[in-house]
Amino acid sequence: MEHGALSTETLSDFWSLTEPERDQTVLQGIRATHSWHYARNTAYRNAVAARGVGPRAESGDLPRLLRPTSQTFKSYIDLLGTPFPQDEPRGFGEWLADQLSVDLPRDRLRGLRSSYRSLEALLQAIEHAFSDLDLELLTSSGTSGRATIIARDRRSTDLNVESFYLSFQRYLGMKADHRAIFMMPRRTRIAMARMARFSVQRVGLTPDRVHFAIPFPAHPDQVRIRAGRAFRLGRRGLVERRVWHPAINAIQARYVDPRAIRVALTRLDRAAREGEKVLLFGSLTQLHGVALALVRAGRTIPLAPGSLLGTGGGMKEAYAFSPHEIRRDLERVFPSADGSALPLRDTYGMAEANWAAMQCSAGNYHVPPWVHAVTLDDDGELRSGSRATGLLAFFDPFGSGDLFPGFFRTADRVTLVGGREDTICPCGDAGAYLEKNSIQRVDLLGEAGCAAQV
Amino acid sequence: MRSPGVIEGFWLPKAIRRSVLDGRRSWDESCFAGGRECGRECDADTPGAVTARWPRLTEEDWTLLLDGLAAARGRAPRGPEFWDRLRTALGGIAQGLADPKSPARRGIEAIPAYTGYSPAMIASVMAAPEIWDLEQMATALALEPTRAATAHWQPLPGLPGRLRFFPSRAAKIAGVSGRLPVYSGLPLFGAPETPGFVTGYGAGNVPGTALIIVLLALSTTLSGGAPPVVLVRNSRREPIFSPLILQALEEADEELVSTVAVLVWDYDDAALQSRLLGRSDLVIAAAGDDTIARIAGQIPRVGDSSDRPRVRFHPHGHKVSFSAIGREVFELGHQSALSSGEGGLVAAVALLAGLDSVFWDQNGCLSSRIHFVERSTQRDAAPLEYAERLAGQLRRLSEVLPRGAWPLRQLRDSFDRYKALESLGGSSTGLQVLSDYDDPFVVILDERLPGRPSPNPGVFGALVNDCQGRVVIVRPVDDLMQLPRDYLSLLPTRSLQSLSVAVGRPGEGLSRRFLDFAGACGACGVTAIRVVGRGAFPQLAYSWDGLLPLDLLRRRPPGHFTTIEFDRPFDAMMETYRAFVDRMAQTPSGQ
Repeated sequence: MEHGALSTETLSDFWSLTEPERDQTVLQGIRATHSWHYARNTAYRNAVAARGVGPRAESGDLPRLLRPTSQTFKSYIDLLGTPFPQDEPRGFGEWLADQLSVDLPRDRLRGLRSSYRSLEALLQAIEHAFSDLDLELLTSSGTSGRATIIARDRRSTDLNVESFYLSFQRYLGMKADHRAIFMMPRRTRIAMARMARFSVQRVGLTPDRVHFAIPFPAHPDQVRIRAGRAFRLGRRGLVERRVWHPAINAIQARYVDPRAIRVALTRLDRAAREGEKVLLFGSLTQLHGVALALVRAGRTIPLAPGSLLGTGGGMKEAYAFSPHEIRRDLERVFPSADGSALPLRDTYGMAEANWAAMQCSAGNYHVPPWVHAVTLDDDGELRSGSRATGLLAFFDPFGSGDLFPGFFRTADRVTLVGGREDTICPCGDAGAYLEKNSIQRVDLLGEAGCAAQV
Repeated sequence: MRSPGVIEGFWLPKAIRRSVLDGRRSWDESCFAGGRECGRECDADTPGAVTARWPRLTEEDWTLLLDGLAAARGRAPRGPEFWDRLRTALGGIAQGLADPKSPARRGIEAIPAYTGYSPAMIASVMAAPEIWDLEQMATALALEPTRAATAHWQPLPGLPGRLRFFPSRAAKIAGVSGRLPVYSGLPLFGAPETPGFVTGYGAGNVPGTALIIVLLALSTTLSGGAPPVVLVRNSRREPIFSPLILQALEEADEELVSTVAVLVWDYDDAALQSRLLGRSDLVIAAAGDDTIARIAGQIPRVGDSSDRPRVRFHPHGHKVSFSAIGREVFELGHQSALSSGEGGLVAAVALLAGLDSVFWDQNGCLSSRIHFVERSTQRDAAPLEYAERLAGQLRRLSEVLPRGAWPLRQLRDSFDRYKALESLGGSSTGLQVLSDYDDPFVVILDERLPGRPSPNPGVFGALVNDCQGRVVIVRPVDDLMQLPRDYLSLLPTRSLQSLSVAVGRPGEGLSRRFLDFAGACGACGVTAIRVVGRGAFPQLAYSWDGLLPLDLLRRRPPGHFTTIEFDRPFDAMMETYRAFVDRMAQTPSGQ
């Protein structure tokens, strides 16, 4: 099988394959994708060649094809010696070119300035320099202050949208008759947010049925400063720390969040009045903000049957309420008009993945069938068995596009169930899934005594 | 009924043990397999797991215990007699541990299964005579450093090496100066305050911390009185080793440990902490920074509310250590006495420096993280040669001192991370990974330009933090003085600990150049300087995190001591090399 043989239309075919067919197809896809990227992608080739893997991968090589999500698209920080690539635009451009399997004309990097005032300005400049390649540069949520920076082109975006769209349809039951309200800005580089937005449009929602509760753009620099985990050096950093960090947080708390809640409530009230199905999507804490506003007002919004509450991104900051308490509040303020419980479904994904695992009615997170998900033991070897707990890793040979191979090891410990025969999810859908309540971020540092970190 | 596999993770003297433990039903226990807690960090039923238990004491039990320990002081031997008997008993235990059939040896065999360290590593440390040698303590406690130590290195009468004191900023302001002749002869330490009650807190990242605290506390007997009550809160992660040795000591000479107890109790039990710290004259805490902060927060409250002198607190928190390889190593090259061996002097130094990173798999504060190599004008490729030799020696050492049962994933993450930094845009970045993916260690030669990565404390800190689990970065410097000036100064003073050095020429003493270098390192916060190969075997007679044995007995202005543990660095290094090679030759394979 050749890399790229499958187009976006064929991802959905995986649901109709038998298990052996699927396994064989995915394994062939992994090998073909490996060879294709090995020949073109400097960073990938260097990484796997150092592990003893050549241009042709065998089955036993699979664990050695996995690159850690915690490092791969953050490695510019080590290379440049700074988490601020806007200070080293050309070095960053070289790094980016090494990460991609397309031939990025490096001579254009000479046109970049010696520095940019912000990461957003740098990313715009690079997108402009390579506009003929349709590159867009996306980021992780950036709350750690060290952003993952990842490139997508038209094909990988299409595949990503298709992947999300198929999962939205299959696991969340979304159709074109929903009204989508996102607790996020329309303009953002956060990969998950962008893909969720594009995907509901792919479901068939017209732009007038897709709303964004946050009316301001969220540039990566603002996200970083707001998180308060990394500031620039010197005077600029001092201003960021002493002025902008408290100011942005104050504006967020006093103006942006209340306004987002008001916008969401206005849309929700209107949808409830008109009996329209709604998808309200945001982080658990953002949705809780909406719920608390209703609690304080002593009111509820009965939403039309078929409406959905969708969450993603996990709990990235300390929060006064537990997920259980948040869910209880959401159930209380959003009763379904027909008395049935309103589904609250979570989405598990990451910037590096062109797919997301969506929670089914049984609460498990389903991995799309074109993705080969595995768990790894502490030595990085594949765990076997129809139900295994370990670090989640995945191979996405068909959905990840042409820019880099979607073979990654995450930093999340999960329980992965094969979803075959006696392990099929109670929701009835066959295929692999992550057991509900099993996903946890692994703290790699144990009790360190007198050693440890400086 | 407890399973036969349960080990006693505590120690109480025989007389007290009977009264406190008879008919006891409440115990706490921890089960570990390969350094991972069963049911939390690995499966609850992991094969080979070892369970350790300790009593959960009631308020009445504590009263019994504390009264019993205090009463035992009156019966215990005193002064130098106590110390002589302790040294004799420890010597016997060291010999006993060499016997595979001895009961203590059988207990020690549980340590690898519980802690994750390899059996060969534990056996090698047990076989090292340095850890049982208390000979120098009497001399160390008789030292009389003066204020001149704030300005100059002072000799240590009766001990090899030098000593220097770096006052804290507050002490400097208060006028602790050794530069003025009128002050320089004044003693640094005040009158003795021999402790009657010492409370310790031992970390579990390396075995035996609780025992070190016990030995240090008991050494105060050398001032002439009875041994203090020593109560140590041990770590759940390594509660086995210290009780085993204390048990063996009791079997050899019961009175020696009649004032000592090692237990596990809850830090968050404020009433108990207040009760124990309220009795303490001296608190020694070797623990994580967060634990130390909690204990420090409890101590003033105790002292403020009593008429007794303020409790003395010796914190030993998070630290990091480094190595410095002087250019002489490369310039002496093959002309040394070692030229007949494979690789000559460079290989020997790489072996010794490798040991400093290998022992305790860099989980200890004394484990070297980054090896700084001084460039030589005579040998351009000196750093590369050293890094290649180091990789070769670490490969050899991984067979005789295998890495513990730590996840390979962490090692491979480091390998991947640095491998990704080797080139940028098709050009070399100056960074090379010299180990293979399947090696149980990672060696990185970082020849990026000075200031690359930028002289950013966070970036350098990240490099240092990466060096755990046998990850070593070799970093060339044009001159050794660059080490304190450009690197150590980026780290917090309180975070630095040991520096292992390979410097000097045969027969050469401490040169002016070396003492200047050592002084600059001490000013940055380095507290102990020893030759390569001795990093894992610090001597109690010298500075431990800036504290001398004298600090156990007396007060002095705030600041830290730095000690040099040798007079002739090259000769001390060669002696260490020969001792290690001899020991390895005598160790049966598989040990």
